[in-house]
Amino acid sequence: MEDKQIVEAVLAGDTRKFALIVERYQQIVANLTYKLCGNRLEVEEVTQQVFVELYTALPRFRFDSQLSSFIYRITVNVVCKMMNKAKRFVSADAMEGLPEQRSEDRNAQQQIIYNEQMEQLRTAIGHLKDEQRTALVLYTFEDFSYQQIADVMQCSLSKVESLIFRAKKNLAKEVRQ
Amino acid sequence: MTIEQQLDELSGLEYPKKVDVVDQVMAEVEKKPYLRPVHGRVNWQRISAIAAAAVVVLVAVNVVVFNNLGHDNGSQGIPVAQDNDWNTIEEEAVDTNNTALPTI
Repeated sequence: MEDKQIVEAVLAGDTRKFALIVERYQQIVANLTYKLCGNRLEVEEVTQQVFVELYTALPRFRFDSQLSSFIYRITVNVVCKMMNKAKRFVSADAMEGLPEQRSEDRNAQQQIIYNEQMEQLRTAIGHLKDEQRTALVLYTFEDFSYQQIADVMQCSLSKVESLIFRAKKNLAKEVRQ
Repeated sequence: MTIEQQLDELSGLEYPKKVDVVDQVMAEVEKKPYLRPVHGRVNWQRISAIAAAAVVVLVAVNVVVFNNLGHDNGSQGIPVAQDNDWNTIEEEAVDTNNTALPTI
């Protein structure tokens, strides 16, 4: 069943169909949330909140963009709201426990250096401003185009370009220190 | 490694746990009936058309009412003295003069 058909069924009163949307997008929302806030303790809570807000916002959805973009937009807003409320920042501690990315091409020493670089990068991403982190994560980790990011963040193309440029500049500055 | 290369390495990052929030979400949604989506969508075009029609009707009614009030004022004006009234007074005066006065 396509997204549009499910949304129309839900709006016509068949609330149970909303579960299909949750099943379809929950892992995507969780992954994006994890990349944005990096706190594994909050990911399920944020994911749940995203879908509750989606349900409330569904009558406003006009299918002038994809449902996934609408969901991404809500996810970004909910994450920013909850992070501001909790005043938490992504930290290296919050992202610990991730499986190390090993490669057969690297020897042990190279692997250690590699892991340290990755850890530094994660910390630096956590220190970015919300808007810069959102734009960067959507561009780098979700392969969104500039236009798609502009749709999600409801800003201009030039602002998206500027945010990504400044995010990379700030990352490079922090990682080099 | 450049920042771009490092970011590429990190792009495979995913939440390491399988998420299942369907039951919790549906429980939240079900217990808030006032937040249920309305049946059908609000048709703003239809509402605008009805509002415009209502304005036109109101204006038309006002025009008709005020026009009618203007005609009524002309017919209910100060009553005009009739000619008959004056004739009556003159005739009475003449009658008085015709009364013969006693001669000395």
